[in-house]
Amino acid sequence: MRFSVQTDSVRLLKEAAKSRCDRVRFGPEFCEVKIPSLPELQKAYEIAEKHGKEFVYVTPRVTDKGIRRLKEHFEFLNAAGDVSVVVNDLGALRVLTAYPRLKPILGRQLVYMPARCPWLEFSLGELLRHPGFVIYTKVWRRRSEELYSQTNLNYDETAKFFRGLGVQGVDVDWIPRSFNSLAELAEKGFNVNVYLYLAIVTLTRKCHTARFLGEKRLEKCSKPCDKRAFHLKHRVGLEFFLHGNVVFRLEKPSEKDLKRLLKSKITDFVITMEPVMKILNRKRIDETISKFKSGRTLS
Amino acid sequence: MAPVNSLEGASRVIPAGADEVYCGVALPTKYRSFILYRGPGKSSAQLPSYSELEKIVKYAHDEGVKVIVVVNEPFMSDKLEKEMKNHVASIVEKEVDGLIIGDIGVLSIVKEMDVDVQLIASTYFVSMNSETVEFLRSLGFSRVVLERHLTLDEISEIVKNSKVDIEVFCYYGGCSNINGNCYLYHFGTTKFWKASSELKTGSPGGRVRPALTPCRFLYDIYDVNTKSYLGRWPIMDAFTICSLCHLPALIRTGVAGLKIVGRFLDVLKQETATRVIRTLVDKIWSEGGRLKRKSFHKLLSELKRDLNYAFGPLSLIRQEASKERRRIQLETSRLKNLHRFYQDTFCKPQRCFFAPLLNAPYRYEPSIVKSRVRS
Repeated sequence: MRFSVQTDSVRLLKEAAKSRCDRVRFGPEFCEVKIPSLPELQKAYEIAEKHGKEFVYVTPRVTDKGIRRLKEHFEFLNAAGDVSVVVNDLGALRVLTAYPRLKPILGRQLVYMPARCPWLEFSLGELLRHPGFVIYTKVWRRRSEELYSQTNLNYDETAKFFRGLGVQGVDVDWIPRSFNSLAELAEKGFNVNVYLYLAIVTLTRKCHTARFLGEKRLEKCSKPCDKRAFHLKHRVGLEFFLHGNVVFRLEKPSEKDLKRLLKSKITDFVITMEPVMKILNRKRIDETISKFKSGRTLS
Repeated sequence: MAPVNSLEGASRVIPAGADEVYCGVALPTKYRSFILYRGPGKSSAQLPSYSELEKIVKYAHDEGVKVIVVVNEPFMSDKLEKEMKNHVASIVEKEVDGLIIGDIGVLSIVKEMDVDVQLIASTYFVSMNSETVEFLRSLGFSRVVLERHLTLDEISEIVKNSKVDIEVFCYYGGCSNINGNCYLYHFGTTKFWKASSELKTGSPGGRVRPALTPCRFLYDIYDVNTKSYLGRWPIMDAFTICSLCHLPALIRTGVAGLKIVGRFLDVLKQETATRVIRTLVDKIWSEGGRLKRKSFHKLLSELKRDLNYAFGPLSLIRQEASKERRRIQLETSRLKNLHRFYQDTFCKPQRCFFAPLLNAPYRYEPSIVKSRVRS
C-alpha cells in the first residue's frame, strides 16, 4: 500500500515530505492561476529529494499561456530525473510526450466517471422502478448499472490509445460503485491512484470561490482557496464542498468498501492537503495513513 | 451553425441564414433511457428517427446547407459499442456532412468504420489551447469546437496557431462549469424537479420559468473552517447566454464558425437566434473594419425586439402547459418593462459569453436573492 500526499503549496509540501507518505505530489490539479513559478517547482523538487520522497508533478487544464509555463517546467523535470507528471489536459499530454524521461499519469479530469454524478444512485433507482422498465430483465438492469459504474478507460480502444501515448497511471475518485471497474483498469496494467475521499462533481474557470469572495480579476486572484472552502447544502438533500474552482462531493468512506478495494490490485492512494478534509499538517497525514493501514477510514 | 430538432426547424433556420445545421438522433438502444450526455430535455433535443434526419439532409442539401450530426457520447463502453456502430452507420447512410465526436472511444469506432465524413471535435474534449487543437488534428479532426470558458484573446491565439477550423459557441447555453468535466447531469428525476422549481431565473418578473440546471440552484453556504452560515446564494451560477455585443471582436479573432446552442429549444427561438446572428454577421462583414460602434448597437437594439419576443415571457405563455398559463399571465401582466426583457435579464447581469471570467451575474441581483431567501 502506497500513499501520496498532494498539495500546491511549498509550505505544505514541507509538512508532507516529513510525513510517512511514500510520494509527494506538487502542483495545482484544477487551477491554472496556481501553477507555480519555476523557482517554486525547483524548491519543491529539492524538498522531496531531501526527504527521500518520490516526486510527482501535478498540472491542471491550461490555456496557451499555461502551456508555455508547463514547457519550461517539463524541461527542468526532464533534466532532473525520471519524474511522473499528472496531466489533466490533452494539450499538456501532447507536450509531455516530447520528454522521454517524464512519465505521464492521466489526471482525474481526463478520466470520465459517470458515477461522479451526485444523484446517480437516486436516478438509477428511480428509473429502474419506472413502469416502463418492468419489462426488462434483471440481466439488463445489472448491465445498466454496470454501464454507469465504468470509466472511459474501461473501453479497450480508449485504454489502448492512452497506453500508446505512454500513460502508465490514472487518477480516479473514491467511488465505491466504480471499484470493480477500477480493478479492471489495474488488470489492464494501469497504476490506479485513488483519491481519498472527495469526488469531483464539477469545475469551472469562472471560479465560484473567487467570485463569491469578490475577487476582481482571475490573473490577480489572491488565492483565498488556500485557506477557505465552503459547504453547500440544498434542502432536497444535495451536499457539496466548494474548494476553489471545484465542487466536490464527499463519498463517505466505509470499512467494508475499503476491504473491497484492497482485495483488488489497487494499492496507491492520494491524500490531498486541503481545508475540507482538514488535512493541513503532518500529524493529520500520518493519522490518515495509519487508520487506513489498519483497515479503518478517516471519520 | 444552427441547431435543429425537426424538419420544421430546418425549414425555418435555413431561410433564416444558417450555413450549417446540426442535430442529434436518439440512440436506438435500451440504454437511451439513461442520459449519457448533459444536455437538458433529452427527447426534445434529438430527432426521433433516422427518416427525419434523411428528410432534413435532403432539404438542407437542396438549399446548399451542410448537416452535421452530434454523436458526442461523453464516453464509450463495450456495452454500447454495437449500438453505436449501428447508429453511426445509419447516420452516415443518410449522407450527412459531418459528425461531432466527444470521446476517443467513439472516435475509434468511427475511424474503424472508415466513413467519409468530416470529423468535428466536440466541446467535451475541452480544447483550451493550441496543443490540444493540434493533438485533435493529428487524430483526424478537421474542425474543433473550443471550450466556452475562453477569453477573446485566448481564442485569437488558438486560431492563429491552428491548422484546422475553429468553432466557438456564441449564443445560448453558456454553462457555468466546464462542460467536459461537469457531472451535474440534467436528469429529469422527481428530486431534481423539486429542487428546480424553487428558483425562477432572470430579472424580477422577467423570466418565470424554473431554472432547470442544478448549477443555478440556491445553496445554503457554510464556511468549512468556522461552520458559520453565510447565506443562501446561487453560488455556482455563472451561466451566460449571449455574445452579440462581442460579435465584431469575435469575428476578428478569425474563428471559422459561430455555433448556436439549443437543439432542445422551440423552433421560434432557433429561427430568431439564427436570423439575428446572421443579420449582425452580414452587417459586420459588409462594413469590414469600418463598422461604427453606434450603428452596430443601433441594429442590435432593433434586433433585441425580436429576441424579446422569442425568448421573453410571451414565449413562455405560448409554451407552458395550460395549468401554468394563468400563473404566468399573472406574472407577465406585472411586467412594467416587457420590451426591456432581454436587456434586464441577460445584458444587465452580464450573462455574456466573453465578459471577464470572474463577472458573477448574481452580484447584480442581490435584491432578488434577498427576496427569494425571504420567501
